[in-house]
Amino acid sequence: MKSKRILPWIIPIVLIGSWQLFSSLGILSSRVLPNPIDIFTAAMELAKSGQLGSHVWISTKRAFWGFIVGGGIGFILGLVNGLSKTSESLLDSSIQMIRNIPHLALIPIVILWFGIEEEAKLFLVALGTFFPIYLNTFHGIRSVDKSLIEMANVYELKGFSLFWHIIFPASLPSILVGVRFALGITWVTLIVAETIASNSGIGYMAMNAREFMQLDVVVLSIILYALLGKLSDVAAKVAERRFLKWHPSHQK
Amino acid sequence: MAMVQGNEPILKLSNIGKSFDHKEVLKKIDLQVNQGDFIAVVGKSGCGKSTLLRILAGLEQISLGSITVNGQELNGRNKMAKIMFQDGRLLPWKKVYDNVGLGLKLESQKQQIPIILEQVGLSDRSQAWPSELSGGQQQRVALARALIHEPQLLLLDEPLGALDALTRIEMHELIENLWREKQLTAILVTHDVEEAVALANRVILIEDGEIVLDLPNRLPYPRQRDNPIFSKLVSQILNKILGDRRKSTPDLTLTN
Repeated sequence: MKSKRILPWIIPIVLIGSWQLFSSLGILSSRVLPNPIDIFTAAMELAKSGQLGSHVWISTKRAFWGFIVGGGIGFILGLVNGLSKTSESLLDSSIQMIRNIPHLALIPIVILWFGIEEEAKLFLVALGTFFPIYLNTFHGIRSVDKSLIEMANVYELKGFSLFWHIIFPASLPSILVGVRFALGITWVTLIVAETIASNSGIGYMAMNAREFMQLDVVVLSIILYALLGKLSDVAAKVAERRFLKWHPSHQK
Repeated sequence: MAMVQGNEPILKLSNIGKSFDHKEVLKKIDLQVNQGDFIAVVGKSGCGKSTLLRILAGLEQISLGSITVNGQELNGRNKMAKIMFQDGRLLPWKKVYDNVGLGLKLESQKQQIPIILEQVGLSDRSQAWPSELSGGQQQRVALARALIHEPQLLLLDEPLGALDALTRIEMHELIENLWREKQLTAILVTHDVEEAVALANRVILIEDGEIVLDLPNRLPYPRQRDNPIFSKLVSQILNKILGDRRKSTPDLTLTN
């Protein structure tokens, strides 16, 4: 049990250890890659001045709201199209058409529309997270076992209770897969959007540091993105374990 | 439970037929079900016996004839019947307790859940997920879920088909006891002739969509499988099934 807990950490620790070692020995030039201790000191200084906290907070807020707006619309449209054939024939092919445009290709036009304000980031993140959640919600609802619906009819479940007791829980595993996909896309979108057009946030911090050749801050930003991405994935996993307790793959 | 006066059949099928895409699955079926009957419907797979049960539950529409339930024409789902499916169809995201309580609206009905779980011998598993139960236990939950609605007619669609032989015998006892205690009316579809003879007081054999045998079974309960009349009934039904097969494949010889 204990060795299983340590196991995943062995490679990261060895990597960071040798990184620090090679930097100290001068084999790895600090112009290529600053050493871990320098990055840590830079983080400490930025944290003290309050810059680190505010940039991280701004980026997290953008990710959160973009995800809520895009994911929320995707979820609702997935539900509606999954439940109603009419709505599907009306909307689905248009949605599929838009889906084929890479949302990051819209950055130039988004800048023209919204400038580099919050709306631009919100729009891009929302657009990026919309599709995985839409597709997985739709797919989840459409693949509900028909025999369970028939069983529910025998037990006289109709309308909302049919949805709440049968259709929604049956499609939840698929919806949560969509959520995990969407969280990944959220951070990728935000990194690109903040790097290209922004005046705050982690991406801005990185680009600003680049101009002043502060390589440690640039690397720090990259690490921050990695940590935030990992953190949201862990949150999604916890949600899966919480809501899919019944699923054989989540039982010990 | 709706009360039926005298010997009026609670369910009456007159000359019904069912076709899927011009293929006749059931033809000219006449059947009367009386209060307290335990009817077993046997037949080879594909003979139409499951379709018959689904028609009785109102899950399939008939192509010909008429069905009356307590004297009234059946239209849509049969509300006096609860069907128990071969695959149980438990909701994997609900614990045993909530599976049994599915669709219950009254608090007084919900109070019956522990009692019915006790009756099927699962009172200690009420907080378990269905995936943690054995096949036999899952079918007990499905049975409890059907029984809690106190259906006037219990329809059993090969409920024990996927269980091992020992579990099946246990389940026979359970079903038989519940049928007697609750004075149920039940129709059991099965391909196991012994199961039919062990449980039912009337055995119906369906072949190619038609009723070819309708045998009363007055053996006293609980039935002993080594009783000579039991074996005689079983072989009588089996001979009927196999006899027809012999006639239909006359070319089969040992010397080839």
